[in-house]
Amino acid sequence: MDASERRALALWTAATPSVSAFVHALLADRAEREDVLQEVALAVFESFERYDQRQAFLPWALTIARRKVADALRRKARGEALLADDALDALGQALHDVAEREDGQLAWLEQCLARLEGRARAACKLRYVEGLKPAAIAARLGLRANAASKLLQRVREDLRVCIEQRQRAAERA
Amino acid sequence: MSPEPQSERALLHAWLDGELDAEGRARMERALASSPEFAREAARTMRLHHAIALSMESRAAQPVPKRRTWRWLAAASLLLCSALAWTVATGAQASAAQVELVRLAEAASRGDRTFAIRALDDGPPAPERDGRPGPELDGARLYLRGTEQYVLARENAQGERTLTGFDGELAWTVPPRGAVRVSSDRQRFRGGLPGHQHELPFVDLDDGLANVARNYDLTLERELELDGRPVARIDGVRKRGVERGPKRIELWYEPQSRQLRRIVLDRLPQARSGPRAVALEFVDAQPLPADFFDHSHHHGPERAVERDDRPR
Repeated sequence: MDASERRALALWTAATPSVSAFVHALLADRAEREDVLQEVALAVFESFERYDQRQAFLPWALTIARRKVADALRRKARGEALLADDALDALGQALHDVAEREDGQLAWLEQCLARLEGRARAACKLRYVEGLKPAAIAARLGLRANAASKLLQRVREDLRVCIEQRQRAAERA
Repeated sequence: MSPEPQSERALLHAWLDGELDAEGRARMERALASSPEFAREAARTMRLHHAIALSMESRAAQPVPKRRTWRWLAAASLLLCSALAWTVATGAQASAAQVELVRLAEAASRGDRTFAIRALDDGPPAPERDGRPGPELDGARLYLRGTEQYVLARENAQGERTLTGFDGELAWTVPPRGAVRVSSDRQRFRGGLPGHQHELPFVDLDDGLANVARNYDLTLERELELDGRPVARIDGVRKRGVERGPKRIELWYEPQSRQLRRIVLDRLPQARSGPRAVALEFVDAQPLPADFFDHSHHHGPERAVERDDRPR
């Protein structure tokens, strides 16, 4: 492996969590996400010589991811659309900013997830393991229609607070 | 009275949960484009959403979570990069078979699997140990959890069992008699594993499949049948110049779940005893007891347990 390939490898490894999160937000189907992510990885490596190394890598990789997600939506002919271009541009930049500042924080997630109890834990499992949407989660948990949406939002926000608290505590220590 | 409009933050969560209507979507797009702070909030939430999914999926598949998710993510990513980087280095297009290998490795991170091992030909018998016949690979069982925990159960010609394994922290062996030995060297006691001497350790699928991607010419057959089920198969032929490893390998798997159904290792080098070709046949994916991969599950409390961390 030459120096350029080693660099591509290092950059892609660092970018993968953000690219995966981007693809995940845009495609609901797990298998489809996996397919698209692999297509993105292939395209990144195959076109790496065209990447302008004076620019940040993640926005470039996200541009490829956008194209691949658009292709996937078109293949399925589902009438779903990507977000508007200016919104996607803003998200790409924001993912880059956040990754640079906050890489490593999500390592606290495991501990915070372990603290979830009761309905919060059940809702999380139904959403992320069984892939149910809020309406179906509400039916399973005996909640009102929009209560499951709010519960999921609260769970994520609580997890975010927990992660930030642990990060601050670790930095103080 | 009309309902109170959702906050931008609520719109973001509704979007991630697939419940945002066209009007809400347009509002969220405007907020993303006009507010870098909201875009960063969205980016943080997207990353968290994805990380929760990975972690929950991993927990659901892993009865005994032992430092799985992040290590696995890194390993899968490296496997992908390694296979692809190698491909790019040779100037070739990454093949469908290589992409399938990555998927097999991802699928292997989930749950427990049991394989039965059978010899496909007769090789020299296992060498004796302490005057008794050694354990045979033919008829052995291989139990796997995730990509690194394993138990290999072999019997000798007299029906005496030897077990070797790794629980994620300790490698161990439980011979028919004498002390149980444990080691913090994860490679210890692995000599009996098919493929181990040949750098194709199928219990470490992330490493093993990366070696397959590098060292074998691969082809993919998609529409096959095995025991009445539709399967796909990756065939690998060892490349010229690569000295270690079986000459030929076959990986049979279910195309939807990517569950490996059969692994064939053909023309194994004969530096030691054993068959020249073996098949690992999938038995089931029933969850095994939580402590199954700990040595204590396989012997009584009266057995002595000795550390064996000497350099090999």
